[in-house]
Amino acid sequence: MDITLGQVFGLAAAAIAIAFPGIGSAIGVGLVGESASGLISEDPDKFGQSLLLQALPGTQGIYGLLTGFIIMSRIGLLGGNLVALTTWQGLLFLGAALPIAIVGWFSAIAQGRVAASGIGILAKRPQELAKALTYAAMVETYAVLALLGSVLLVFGIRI
Amino acid sequence: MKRDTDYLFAINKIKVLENRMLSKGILSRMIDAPDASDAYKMLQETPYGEFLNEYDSPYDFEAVISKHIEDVYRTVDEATGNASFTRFFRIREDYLNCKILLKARNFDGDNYHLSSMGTIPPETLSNCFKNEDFSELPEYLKVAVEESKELFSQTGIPGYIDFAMDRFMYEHLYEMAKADSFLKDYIEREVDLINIRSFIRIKLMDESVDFLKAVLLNHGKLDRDFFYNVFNEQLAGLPDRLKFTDYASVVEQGVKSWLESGSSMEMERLCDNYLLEYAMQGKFAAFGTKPIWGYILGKLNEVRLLRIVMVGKLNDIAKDLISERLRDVYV
Repeated sequence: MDITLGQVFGLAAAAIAIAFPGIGSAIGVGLVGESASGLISEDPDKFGQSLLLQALPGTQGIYGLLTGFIIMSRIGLLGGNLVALTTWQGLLFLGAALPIAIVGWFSAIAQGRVAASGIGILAKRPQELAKALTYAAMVETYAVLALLGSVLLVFGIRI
Repeated sequence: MKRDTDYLFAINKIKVLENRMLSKGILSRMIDAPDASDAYKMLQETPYGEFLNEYDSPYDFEAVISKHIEDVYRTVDEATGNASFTRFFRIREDYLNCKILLKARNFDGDNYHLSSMGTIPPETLSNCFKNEDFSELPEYLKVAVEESKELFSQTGIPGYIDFAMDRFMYEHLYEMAKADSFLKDYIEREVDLINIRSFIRIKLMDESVDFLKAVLLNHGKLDRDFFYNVFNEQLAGLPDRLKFTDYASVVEQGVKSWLESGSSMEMERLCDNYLLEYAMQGKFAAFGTKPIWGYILGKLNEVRLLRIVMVGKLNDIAKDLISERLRDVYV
């Protein structure tokens, strides 16, 4: 079977949609995990609450994977019948993947920093955990918007 | 490459430890206690408590403080994986110990107490001075001690030991601090406040500008020339000359109190509070090195307060007088 340049671009689109938000999430979750470990080393009872904060920057990785699956599904990669994409169609998929790839990457790190700061709130005033969660959740808005943008773009490409 | 996320583990561990620092409430209760022994027992419910079994007399409070600070330094070293944070403060103790030994060598004989919080054990330092053999000292300390001794032998004025050792110490601390903008700024402010107090003292003693030149420390935000330029002016005008600096409020209140009462006590208290307020930035920071520096500075302020309270209680000083001398707390 001949592979077209469009198919390569299509596959690359799925790859960056999964990889970049995944990198961002790994960094973000890592930042919060490191912060939470410091907290837990002195106050182990706060494990459950700190886990909520740590989970937040992980969502970008999930959004990236979701977008990647949709792209793979649209280009026929999941069913085993890879569509013969033209170069331009491949590039369109690549462009469609960019919002979640870029916004997912950076917003996960930004959210990780906010959630890591939230661990400080949990250390000092555990009763204010909801506020720390709200601050971190605000960053999520932009990841959700980027996910929506990418999904609409992917579905808007005619093949 | 240094990143502001390098010490997240340590920072959040410290945030919990800050909750256990002595509050104004505990210090007030200690001041209100009927005697030193009762005040001392109140430390049982604090992180100092773990050493109280070993040192059960209130007269042992210095040993408890030393043990506790050792514990703080060890915790910071382990949590950050970087001993340079505590080394900055340990080196300061080395210089102070050498200053004590230099003076003891000339005046006090064996009646001195050395801090065990430095990088060099007090016994090693004592032996060096006893045998007049400084080869075991690190080069920076050896140079400072030799030059201070030389200056004292030339002038015969004991104060020159302080001036020389302080100058070497602050040169060294500034060198260590300049890689970290927060700490550099802190040292510059500390130097300024020391220089301002030295300036006031020299003016009150009616000493010459040459004496001022020997006393002023380098690396403050205020240039040495500033002090030379205002040297011939009235002391009461100093607050006006510093009106547009960060020290306006400290100098205004401090100079007024100093001139009225003839005592520098209020000025010292205001300066300590000013530096503590600067250090308290660490309490509100979530990244970088500020929270770590802030915590150590806050702890050193805490032990200073504890000393004021315990010395006051042991000497039966009135509660009001002890309270007057107290500084702000970090938490």
